This record gives sequence, C-alpha cells and structure tokens, in this order.
Amino acid sequence: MISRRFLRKLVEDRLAVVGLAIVAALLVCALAAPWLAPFPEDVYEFHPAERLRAPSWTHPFGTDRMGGDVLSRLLFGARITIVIAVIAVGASVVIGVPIGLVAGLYQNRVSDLLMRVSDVFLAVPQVILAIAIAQTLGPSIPNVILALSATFWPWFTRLVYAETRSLLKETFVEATETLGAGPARLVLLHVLPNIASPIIVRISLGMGFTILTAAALGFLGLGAQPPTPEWGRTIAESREFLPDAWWYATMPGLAIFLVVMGFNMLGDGLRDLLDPRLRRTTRVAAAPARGGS
Amino acid sequence: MGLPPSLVVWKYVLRNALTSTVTQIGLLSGVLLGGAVVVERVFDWPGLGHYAVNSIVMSDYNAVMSFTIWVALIYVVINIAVDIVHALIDPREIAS
Repeated sequence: MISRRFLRKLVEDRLAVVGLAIVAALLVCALAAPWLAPFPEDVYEFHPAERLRAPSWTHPFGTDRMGGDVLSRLLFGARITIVIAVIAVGASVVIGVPIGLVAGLYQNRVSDLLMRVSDVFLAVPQVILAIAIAQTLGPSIPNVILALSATFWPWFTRLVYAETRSLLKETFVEATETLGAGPARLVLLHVLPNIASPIIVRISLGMGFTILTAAALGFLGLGAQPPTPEWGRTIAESREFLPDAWWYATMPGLAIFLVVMGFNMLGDGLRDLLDPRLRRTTRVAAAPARGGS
Repeated sequence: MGLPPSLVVWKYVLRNALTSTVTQIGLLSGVLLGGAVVVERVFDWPGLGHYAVNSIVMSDYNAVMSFTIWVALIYVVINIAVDIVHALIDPREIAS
C-alpha cells in the first residue's frame, strides 16, 4: 500500500500534507518536550511573583495563574494528548474490528447479538456516555482513556461489519470459499486487506475527534487533576482570568484546534487516496468530526 | 425544453439529496447534546448540561445517571423521527 505512487499522490494533496505536517509537529513536541520547553520545571513548580505575565521574549505565550510558562506547559500537555488519543483509538480498533469481523462473517444469532450490543452503545451520545463513565469511575487520565475507548469502538464494529458483509458477496470471496478456505484464511488473507483502507481513514479522523472529546472532558474537570498540564483543563483554569489574561485560554485553545484540524485534514486526504468510492465528491458530507458513516 | 431547472432542483434533486442530509441531522444531534454540556458550562446557562456538570462536581451519582438516560432517550426519539421522515421522503425505504 505504501508505494511510491501512493506517496506522490499524498504529496499532491496539499491539505493532506499540511495535516501530516501538523501531526508530525505534534509528535515532535510531545517527544522533545523537555528539550523544547524553555522552562520544563514550570509544570510542577510555582512562581507566584511571575503570575499572569503577558507574552514576552522570556515567556512567548505568557504565564499562567501559578506563574508557570504557558508554552512549556502546552508542550508537556501534547504528551498527555498523544497518549490519550493513541491508547483510546488503539483500544477501539482492538475491540471493534474483531467484533465487526465475527459479526459480519457469521450471519447468525451471535452476530445479531453483537450488533445490538454496539447499537446500545451508539444510542447514547458519545460525549454524554464518556461523561457518565468518567464520573462513575472518578476523574483521572486512565478513566478518560477507558471512557473514550468504551464509546468509540462501536464505530469500528459498524464499519467493519458493513464492509465485511458487502465483501462476502464479492465473487472472489465466494470462489475462495468454494475452494474450501476456512474462516481464518478468508478473514486474514481476503477480508482484512480489503477493509484496511477505511479503517485507517477512520483511525485518523477518530484521533481528531478523540482529542476534542478528551479536551471537553478535561474542561469539565473529569480528566487530569491539577497541576497536570492537560489542554482542556488549562482552558477551564484560565476562564476566571478572561478577558485580561487572553493568552492563557487562547494558546491551549489554538493547540487543540490545530491538532484536531491536522488529523481531520490528514484523514480526509487519506480517504480521497484510499477510498475510490468517495473521491472528492463527498468532501463536505465527510466533514463532521464525529466518526459517523 | 423539458421542465424548468428550478422545478427539477426543488422537486426531484432536493428530495433525493434530503435522505442523507436527514440521516446526518440525526447523528449530529448527539454531538449537539454533548456540546450543550460544555457550552452551558462556559456561559453559565441554567440548563440540563449545567445541572449535569454540577452533579458531577458534587458526585451526585443518581443525577448523572438520570441525565445520561434522559439524553439517550432524547437522542433515540430524534433518530426514530429521522427514520420516519426518511420513510416519508423516500417510500422505497419502508420495503427494506
């Protein structure tokens, strides 16, 4: 799949390249946070004399209510964002894809049961269910990850289920079945490679949506506890200092906006490349960040 | 020269374009309900979402649970309405 042609087409899609650059920049920020941050110790240290300073050369993004450097805290917050998004989406793939495959492959009561269970999860709006889970288990980052995975896996199940069902009607799959291929061979060699592209697209779009939901949960006080520099939490803390300390809320807000935008543009670009049925024409319809299909 | 373009667009194209639009409305209403929680928190509106956040802060488990179920009910009702509108727009849907 990663061929030279693929890479060339990806480079031609300017939006996808911008998205890829933003995602790459986020990864660099997260990995190199201790070296990039001008004041790495400000994540946990207080400087009451320096509190709420406007942006300057020493503090490019200003300082927060504890006198911490906002830029340094943002860079360390990128780590939390990446960890939450990667684990939550990864867990959703690990749970959702096998369930969708099993439900799509065997057309019996078990597959009906699996699909109804995923329907129950979809019956509650994602953010609301995540709020309920995070509240019940107590506010912490692992619980936010759990809540996000619990609400995101049915989207993968539905996607894989629909794709598997339509693939099983294809002639080449029927032929393989007639030749005596077992379910394991059928799934691993013929179904999975053909549904990999929509899954990859959904992963990229899902990362953006997961980061957005994680920030919303952090904003509501359900995620990381202070002094963790989580972006959503930082915005919630900064609210009482608005509009005077505008940089305090604006910078984490911009960071969330840029990162979600990056993942969405990358996902849309990958969708155009990998899914021939959806080339360009459905760009607008594909825009909502919610992983709906 | 056949039907005027306005009639083609408003009577035939619109009807076919509406089916997927209506489905999106149903799905997006979930995002709207979730977003309301955050918006009511930001602007201090005394709505359902504000009540939910206050219950979270005070660890009022019953209130959060009933809020979740109530919102889920609203969401399901909206989506049933979407399905009915879907059938009205495109009667072929009833057969399948």
